[in-house]
Amino acid sequence: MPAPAQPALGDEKAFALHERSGASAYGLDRDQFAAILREIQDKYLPRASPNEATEFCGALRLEELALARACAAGNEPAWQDFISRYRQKLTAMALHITRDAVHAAELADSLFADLFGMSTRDGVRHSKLIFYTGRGSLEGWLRTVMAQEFINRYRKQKRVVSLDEQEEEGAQFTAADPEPAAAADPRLEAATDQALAELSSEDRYVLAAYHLDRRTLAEIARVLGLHESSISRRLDRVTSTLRKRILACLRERGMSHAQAKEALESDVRDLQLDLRARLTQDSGAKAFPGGKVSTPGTGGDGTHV
Amino acid sequence: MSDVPKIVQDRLRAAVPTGAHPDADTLAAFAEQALAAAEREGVVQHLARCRDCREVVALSLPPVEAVAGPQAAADGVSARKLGDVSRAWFAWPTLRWAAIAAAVVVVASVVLLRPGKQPSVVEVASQQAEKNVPSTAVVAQPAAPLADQAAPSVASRMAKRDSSTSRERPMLRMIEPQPGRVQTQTAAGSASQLADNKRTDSLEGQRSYSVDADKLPVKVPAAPVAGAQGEMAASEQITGSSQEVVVVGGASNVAENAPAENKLRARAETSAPIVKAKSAAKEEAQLQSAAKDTGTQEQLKRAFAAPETNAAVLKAQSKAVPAQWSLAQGVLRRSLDGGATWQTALQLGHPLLCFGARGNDVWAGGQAGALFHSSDAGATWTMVQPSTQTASLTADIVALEIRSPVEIGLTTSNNESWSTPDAGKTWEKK
Repeated sequence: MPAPAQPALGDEKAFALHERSGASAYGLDRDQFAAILREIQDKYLPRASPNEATEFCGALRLEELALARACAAGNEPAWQDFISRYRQKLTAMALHITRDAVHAAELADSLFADLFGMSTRDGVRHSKLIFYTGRGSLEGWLRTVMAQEFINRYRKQKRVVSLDEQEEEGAQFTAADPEPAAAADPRLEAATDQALAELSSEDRYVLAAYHLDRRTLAEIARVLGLHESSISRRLDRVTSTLRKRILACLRERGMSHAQAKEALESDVRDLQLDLRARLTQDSGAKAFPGGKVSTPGTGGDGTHV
Repeated sequence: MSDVPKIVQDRLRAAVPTGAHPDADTLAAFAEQALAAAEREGVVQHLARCRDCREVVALSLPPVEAVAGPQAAADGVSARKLGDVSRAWFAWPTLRWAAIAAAVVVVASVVLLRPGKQPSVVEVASQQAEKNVPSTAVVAQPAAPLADQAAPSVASRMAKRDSSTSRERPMLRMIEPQPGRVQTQTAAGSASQLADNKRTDSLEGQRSYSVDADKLPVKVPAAPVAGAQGEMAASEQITGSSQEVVVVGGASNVAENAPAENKLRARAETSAPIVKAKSAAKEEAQLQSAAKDTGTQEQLKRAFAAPETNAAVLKAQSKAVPAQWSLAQGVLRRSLDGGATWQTALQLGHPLLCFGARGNDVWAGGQAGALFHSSDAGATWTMVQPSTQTASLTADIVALEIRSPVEIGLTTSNNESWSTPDAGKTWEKK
């Protein structure tokens, strides 16, 4: 029978990390904590060498990990500590995310219930804190989980819109969605895809965050850990490079420079006419401004002869 | 900012995310710049194509008002949803009028605050030098070493100061004692008086901010009044925001505290264990109050009875028991009695991760680039924001090394190395 494989994170190292984390104050013994560390290391670095595993686990937020896992295990002092440190912050985070006191309280309470583990499965309370692995700060994790919860709720609410609300918005008899816009020139699409694929991930992220999500330069800079002015310069550079690359790709696909430029600048979808509006506008005008018209076969007063 | 062609936006929108969504832990670590380069690249790659995850990351960013620095202020102003309004406010046509209004205010202030018949600081100092009586003008002397606190030498140096120096510090005239008039100035009153000036100046190039102390997440517990730090403001004790400032130690201590006017100060409050760091306005307010209190001859006698003795006692105390430091559960603690008892020296809204101490110089680093410096053994703390022209430190500071009294090295969670050759005035990123 083969001997069980040695874990990458040795006992000695794991126990040292247990000591560093202060987990014993929350009733987590060193074997339990070592098991938690190995589980996390297996999740993120399954084939790590002992050195890599030690380095990885040493970089975790051990104290916060111990607190979260002790809370998940129902340790009373850990909960007291958690509540004193994070309860108010949860409300503040929720307010920051929702920008509305009522929704903020609802969101914070809901997350707190999830963290406490109100839902039971097989008679066992399951706390969301079991998923915290200490890679970032516990506060950052809580913010992220709350943001995910908020987005999920927003989606649900968006799907369920009452008829009253629709009526109030004047959308009781909404017209069917218009036909999808006419597709752009396939050569233009292909050229754009090719130019976008050549961008670095970070450049692409900056483009998407700025132009699609309407994020500010400052927000993007904070996400990427760069200065706002760097993002501004990068955005200018990427936009200009992208334009040149698309033009070059279009020329590679047989277009002249002028054609390529025209294809890129004047998108056919910009030229779509709102036929409905035009027709409505036309029908609003009097077809017969004089009120009477002479038609063949009628008298001057419009009476049939 | 130049727009991209519509087709680019369409193709970006049509992109399909690759792989599974990163879990909350990974996204949180990414937002805190705590991921290794390879893993970070994977997350950015996903984010570039996944609108939902971009939304989560953006929503989970901590609010910028937590640290009210210039960068944070810039971030706050440029919120896109308020972008149009902000842009309108900060557009040149508006700024033009704001600049004119500011110029008018400055001129009016100069005219109003410079009544011709009031004696200047230099005059007061020279008069006092002649009388050989130290007065509250000593407050005007910044960074006076303890050994130089003898009143005659201070007064004579004050007399030598040219008028440009007094122009640089127009506040000083406001705190001149009124002869024959004894005032009891409350801390709150003087603070509000100074708050009107709303000044944000820099001392020796060090960044300093006008911080609303109530919003600052720094919590510094009460420093013991009889603490053994020679350079801390142990002589001052505020027993509540509306109560009088009591000057116990005398003007030598007040003068000693003067250079710290740009720092966030720890103040002892009897009502609460947490003392809020106050900004430069309150600092000067207390100096004012102290100056006015010492306006009476009685207090002057008491304050200047033996300045050398006071200084010597404080120095001796600071030399006798050097402060010991420890970092436990994200809180920086200090012991002034050889480790018998420990007090909290610095506590932020989030845990501190490292510290370094050398003599009275103490540096503490924490999450999201939080860096604090104390040059008086933890009595006062200054927030330092390392940045270069192209980057600012936003990652967690995990290690800190004091190489010399002015040369500091930092290591961040994303393996950046930052160093300063001049005690935090300028920074270099490697």
